[in-house]
Amino acid sequence: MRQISFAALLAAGAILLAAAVDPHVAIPARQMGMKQVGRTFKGINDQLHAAAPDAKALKEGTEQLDKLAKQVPGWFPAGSGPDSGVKTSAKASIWTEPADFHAKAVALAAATHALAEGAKHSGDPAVLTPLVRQVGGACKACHTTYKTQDS
Amino acid sequence: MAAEEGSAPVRLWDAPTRLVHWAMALLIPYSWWTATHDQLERHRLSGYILLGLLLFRLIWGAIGSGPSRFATFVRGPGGVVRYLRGESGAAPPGHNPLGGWSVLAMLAALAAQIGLGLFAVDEDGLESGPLSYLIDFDTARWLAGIHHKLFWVIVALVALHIGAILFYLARGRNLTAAMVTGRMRAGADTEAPAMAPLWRAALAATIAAAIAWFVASGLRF
Repeated sequence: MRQISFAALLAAGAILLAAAVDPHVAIPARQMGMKQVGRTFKGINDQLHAAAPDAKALKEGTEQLDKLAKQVPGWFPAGSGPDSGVKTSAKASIWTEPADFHAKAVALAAATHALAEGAKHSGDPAVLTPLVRQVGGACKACHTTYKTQDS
Repeated sequence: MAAEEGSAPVRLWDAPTRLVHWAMALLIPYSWWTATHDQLERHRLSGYILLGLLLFRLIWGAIGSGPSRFATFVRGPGGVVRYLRGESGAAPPGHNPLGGWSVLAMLAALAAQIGLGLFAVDEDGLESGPLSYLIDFDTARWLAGIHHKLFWVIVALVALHIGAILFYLARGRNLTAAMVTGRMRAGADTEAPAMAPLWRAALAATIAAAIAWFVASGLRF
């Protein structure tokens, strides 16, 4: 399971490198990456809600999430916005307000780093749940501003 | 069902049926509002209460007061056609054969909506229904998409329901008042519907609440 998702990650990264700014490649790669973030985060949340959370799975999941979070800025190359002609929920303001967008990406990476560090030492939901909330807040902060809400 | 003049009020909708009806009428818009305003904790709670209310209504449809029972108001296609042709003859007070199907459609849509919500997950993988841990992210996202769309089916069914109420209101019959007071005027020859005792409602409520609690806890004790 983890191997498959890691392979998907590598594929997404390779596609992204090859893409330069071809929106037909960059946008699907971004969507793939974001879905991988969702899958990984759901895995963490499922563990935290489980009767007996698996500390090892939490450690691995939070590490992977942190790795993914650090890639997020790279998923938004110039030319992969709504003007590209390819359907995307990314708003043009990502590229017109780069300082704020990158500040939000930095906040996300800081939150995922704190979560991964926390999971190194503890598998206790009481410790990790507040850190997970911080990550969720960072996801939401960016999506509220920079993602169009489809129904 | 003519004869309003000089007729006596009969008890039609018992208190549990009215309570469930009005609670649903409040909680369905509340669920929509919380979902669209990032209040997923309250959205889940609203969903759990609706699940309990729905389960209660289904049990009450089997063991409740006469007019609230499915066996009283659910008719086959033949019954609906005869009603539409005006060939049904004297009918018991309560849902007519067409209205009965409207009730079933709304309950079925609500059941599906609650079921989808239990498994749904948001795009970030953060907010999720209590049963979403049983399925993978992509499936849960797919169900969340249907959960969003099905809301508009519920809106359409409710619009039809309110449209029918306004249609009757224009013809001098106030169905809303009957759902508030529980009573409606009926012909003197109308037999008073059988009302279920309160202990039965308490029993049904206990069973419904226990099941809803169990589901909300992710099928874990």
